This record gives sequence, C-alpha cells and structure tokens, in this order.
Amino acid sequence: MSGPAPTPMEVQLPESDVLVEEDRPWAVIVWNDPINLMSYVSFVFRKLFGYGQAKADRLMRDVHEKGRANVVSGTRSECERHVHRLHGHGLWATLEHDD
Amino acid sequence: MFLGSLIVPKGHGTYKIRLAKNIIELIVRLAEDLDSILDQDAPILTRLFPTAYADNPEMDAGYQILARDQLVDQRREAIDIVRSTAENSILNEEELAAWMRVVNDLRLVIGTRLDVSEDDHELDENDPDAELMQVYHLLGVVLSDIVEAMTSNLPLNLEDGA
Repeated sequence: MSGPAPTPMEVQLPESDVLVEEDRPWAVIVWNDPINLMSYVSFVFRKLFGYGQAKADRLMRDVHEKGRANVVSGTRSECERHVHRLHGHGLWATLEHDD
Repeated sequence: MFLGSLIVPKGHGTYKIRLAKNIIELIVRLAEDLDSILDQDAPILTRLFPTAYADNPEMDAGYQILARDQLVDQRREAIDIVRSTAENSILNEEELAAWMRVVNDLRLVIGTRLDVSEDDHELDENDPDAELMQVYHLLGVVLSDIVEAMTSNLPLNLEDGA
C-alpha cells in the first residue's frame, strides 16, 4: 500500500457457493472491541469495500452484538490484503477458511 | 461545549477544520509520542498490529513479517501528514483521512492503556487516570466528527444488498 488514504474499492462477492477444491474460499472476520466507534467501523467498511450505508451498518451491528462478522470472502491472498487494510485502519480483523 | 461540528465539509473534497488550537497541539504531541514508540514491541501497541490468523501461529508469523513494517510505515506517513497540516484550516480528503487514522490509533493506544470496556462511560475525578480518560473521550468526539464529515462525501451505493 502506498498512501494513508486508499481509494474506495468495489469488491465482487461470490455469487454462488461453487467451491473450487484447490482454493477453498476464505473469510475475513472482524471482531468486536470496546474501543472503536461504531460510526468509524461502518465508515471503514464503506470506504474499503464500497458497501452502502445499510450493509455497512448491518455488518457493524453484527460485530457489536454477535462479537464477530464475516465482512468479505475471497481467495486467501485477497483476504490477506483486506485484513492488512483493516489492520491499517485499526480494526481487529482475522482470516479463516469459509466453511 | 462545542457549538456545531468540528469538521465541516466544504465541497470539492475539502473540509473546514474548527478544532481549537490546544486540541490540535494535543493531537500532534500525542501523535509524535506514538511515532517514537511505533517500532517497539510494546504491549500498548497490541491493537495496532493484530494477529491475522487467530488459530495458526505459523501462517500468522508469515503475515507479520511483511505486514508489520508496512503498517508502521503507513502510520508514520499519516503522522507526518498530521504534523505538516496542523496549522491548516482547510484539509483535503487525503489529509483528513490521515487525521482520522491517527486519531483512531491514539484512541486504540490510550484505550488499551486505560483498559476500557464497553461500559466505561463514567468519568471519576478521583481516578488517577481521569485526565487520560478525558483525553480519550475528547479524541472520540474529534473522531466522531471526522467520520461524520467524511461519510457525507462517500459515493452513494444504490445497489446496497443489506
């Protein structure tokens, strides 16, 4: 990453559940924490993933109320890149197999 | 009390900054303190450099080797922007985004130091950490206004599958 202000990016979510054996999908999980502001978390989801306000807010509420949310899925390298950008914005994100 | 928003969108991706001088100086000073410890392995920085693979230390070590230095560099770049724009009354999108990330990083570090929980909303004047808690809350107000201003400039997503 070059600068502190990545431009918004559209992320294509998989349309179906077709799994390719050699590249099982990975999921990016954002975890609840007591510090980050809810409005900030929604903003980061909108900015990084191009989501609308309603979708970003729904994911943010899942993080807050359920403790975690799967915010985006993809190949391992895609998910690692997303996690890296989320870490750059101070969010507590991990990646795991999307089972 | 603050009257109105601290950050006002002025169109064309610019923002009017209405932060008091002493608040700006506080943020710059805290940001420089953070800059000076960023490459240390301090527990207080845990939230700035989280694990990526929660249940696979080997994969996580691989991630950290590359990611850690980049995350430090990005944070330094953002702190440099804050330092160099501290006296500007108008910031552009990129500059305000740097302020946002720095203020959030400061909240993460101070919140970690204070060990805040979801329920910590009361300010207790007798608490030895009361002053730091006030700074933490102040940074929250600043961040909230930055986020509100920048959210108003995000592109609309009409295909929102919420």
